[in-house]
Amino acid sequence: MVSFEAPAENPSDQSPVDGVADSGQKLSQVGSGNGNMDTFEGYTQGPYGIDDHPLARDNANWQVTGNFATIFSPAPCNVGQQTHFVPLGGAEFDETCRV
Amino acid sequence: MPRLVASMLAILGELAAFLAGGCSWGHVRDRERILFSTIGTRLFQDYVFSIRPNGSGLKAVLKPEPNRSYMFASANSMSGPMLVTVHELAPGNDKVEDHLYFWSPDVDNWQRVLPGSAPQGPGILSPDGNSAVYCARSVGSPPETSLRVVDLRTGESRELVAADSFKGLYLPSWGVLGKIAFIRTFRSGGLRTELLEMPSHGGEQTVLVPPEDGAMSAAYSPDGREIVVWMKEGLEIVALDSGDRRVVLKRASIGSDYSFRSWGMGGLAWSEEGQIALSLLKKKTGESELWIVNADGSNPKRIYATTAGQILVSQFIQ
Repeated sequence: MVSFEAPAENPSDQSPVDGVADSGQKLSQVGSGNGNMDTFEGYTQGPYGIDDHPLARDNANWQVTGNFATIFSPAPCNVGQQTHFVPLGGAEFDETCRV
Repeated sequence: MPRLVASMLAILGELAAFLAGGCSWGHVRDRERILFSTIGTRLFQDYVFSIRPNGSGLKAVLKPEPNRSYMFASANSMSGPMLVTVHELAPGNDKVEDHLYFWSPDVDNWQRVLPGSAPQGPGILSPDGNSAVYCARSVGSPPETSLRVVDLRTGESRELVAADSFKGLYLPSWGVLGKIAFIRTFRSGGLRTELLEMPSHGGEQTVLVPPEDGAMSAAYSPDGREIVVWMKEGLEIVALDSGDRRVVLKRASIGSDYSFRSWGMGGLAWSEEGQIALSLLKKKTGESELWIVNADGSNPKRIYATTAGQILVSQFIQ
């Protein structure tokens, strides 16, 4: 997952966020794929705001959650959740917090 | 291929570059290239490229491998050593870490800059190439990032700006007059950013752009007397002696479909020839675009675009 935040002064721009909790759960396997993990948890890392999960199964449908409450108090954008198909080779899930 | 034929092909290639570059043979513009990376949309799909400022001659400098890719590179010349942020699989194969390497392209020698256990992230070379400033992220909750300077001859690292749990430190730029500028972020009714500057050996920090102007990325001019900043109004140049500011590229002039996506490092570059390079994200198409504009604001143009990743400008090199 890649986590971003829209700056207050430039809401159309994006700045990476460090330390956002991300988690994922495989919903269904479409065909044979790579990897051996059906769930993952972690934190995005600065300065890029990226958290990679190299062992997560691909060629599958995933539900991925980004929880900004780990770094914001109070969290202005709380939890973002996406469900996508992840093709062979992987995919990127972007979560942007807009206040 | 016979050497003579190879030489003739090389001459033809240079002739094509000469014609594409506006016929300025022998001029520095022909030798200048923009060094940039593309942050891929999948794991280990991050490249380092170079391209001429006219958009010709795209060249992959570092291509990803099965278990490593290249997030950012800093260099003072194409032939000289590069400071490279390598995104690579950690022991155990279950996570990915960033490590700083010093790469010598001529002999393809890779050397770790810091021990693997040391907090490290992307960095940029000093103008003399003897040191680098980098983001050092420690694991914690909340995570903290400090700015550190490493002497590349001895491997000794020192803290430049201490970490603060409530403030982020990103996007250092090192000017030829011995100053380092950086972005500090904090939260107060949303994400706020400010641009500060300090001597590279440490000392007092000066605010160059206050939080209300929303600085996102900065790069020094080649003479170190000005700094170009992407901020609320768009691309602006700040004179460091007087504080005078002038808008180079108004955000409104490029349309609302564009946004600036910062990656915590790089993002802008300023050439000896007075050109500024930046990347913009076209929201409608998802294309990441590399733009060039003259420092006087004239001739803004897109020179390259891709959907395979997000362009992250590093610097102009020769």
